[in-house]
Amino acid sequence: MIKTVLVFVFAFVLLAGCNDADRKKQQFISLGRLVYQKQCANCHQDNGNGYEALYPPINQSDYFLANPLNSLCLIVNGAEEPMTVNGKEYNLPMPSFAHLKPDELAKLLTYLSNSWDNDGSFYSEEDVTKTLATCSNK
Amino acid sequence: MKFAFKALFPLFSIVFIASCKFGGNTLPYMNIERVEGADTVFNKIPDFSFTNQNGEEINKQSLKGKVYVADFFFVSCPTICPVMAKNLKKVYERFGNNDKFMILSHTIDPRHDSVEVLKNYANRLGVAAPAWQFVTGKKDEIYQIGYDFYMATIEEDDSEGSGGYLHSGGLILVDSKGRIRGVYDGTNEAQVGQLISDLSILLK
Repeated sequence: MIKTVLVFVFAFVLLAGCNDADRKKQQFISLGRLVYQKQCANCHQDNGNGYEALYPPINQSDYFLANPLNSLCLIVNGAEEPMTVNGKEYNLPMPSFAHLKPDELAKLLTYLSNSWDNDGSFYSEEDVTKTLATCSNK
Repeated sequence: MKFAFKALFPLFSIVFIASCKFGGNTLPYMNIERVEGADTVFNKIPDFSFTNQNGEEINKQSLKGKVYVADFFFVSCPTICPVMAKNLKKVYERFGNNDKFMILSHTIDPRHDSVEVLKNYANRLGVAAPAWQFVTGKKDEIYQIGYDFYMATIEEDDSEGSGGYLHSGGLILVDSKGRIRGVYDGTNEAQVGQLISDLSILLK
């Protein structure tokens, strides 16, 4: 009985230790993983390393890490022009994912930034909406 | 009597299972059948003329004596094609050196997937003809051969995230006499494993 109570107290202390920002970030990472699995992983792979010379890596990608928000316009509009990632040129077109909503994009971007060896940043829906306004619509 | 049957049952099971195991080398014949007069005949592959990633013509003659895997895909496909390509590459790595083996990947988006686009895709995937042929051609002809011979599902589809087409991830195994011997889900690793073992039987 004492043991059970202690476990609960311990769990409560642990949970209370997380502040709201941490919790929101964890939530975004979990939900962002679902978006990634469904929309991106077929090409960019579960490990984020891309596949052959067809699809570039997102993990430790200089293109992505330089400014993750810049990747938003790419995701939403797709890309026709070749791009260089970690010194390698990729030229397959990327389809547009215009159907993703700002909250899904924020979760996705947070997941990407917190996965593999990337830098751990958090992106809110407001960050995403602001950046999307700067993307030129094709 | 009842007891004898009970005793025999496990024996039957063993014989039955054993016959499956040893008879497992015979793959089914799956071509679409049609009735001609009093006979039931198998659909044969129709004449066709497509162009591969090197700009060479690929037709019925190119398939003569080949055990091949046919599939339908398109280069800008964001859904199942990359998974199929990755799985098919395992098949290519296993049998690519056998001159009786071929993979025949038909684009269902010939408007975008020109010879140059297919060449770039093959190079980047790290594969080459003649073992892996990527073909383009007249859209109607590609779709028709897909429906009539390979039993494939191909539709244009503008729903979200589809990339413009809806199609089955089927890999169709055809023997050296033009008979379909198996259809596998190219996105399912276990089924691709089965394809590899069935190919070993046909290429023996």
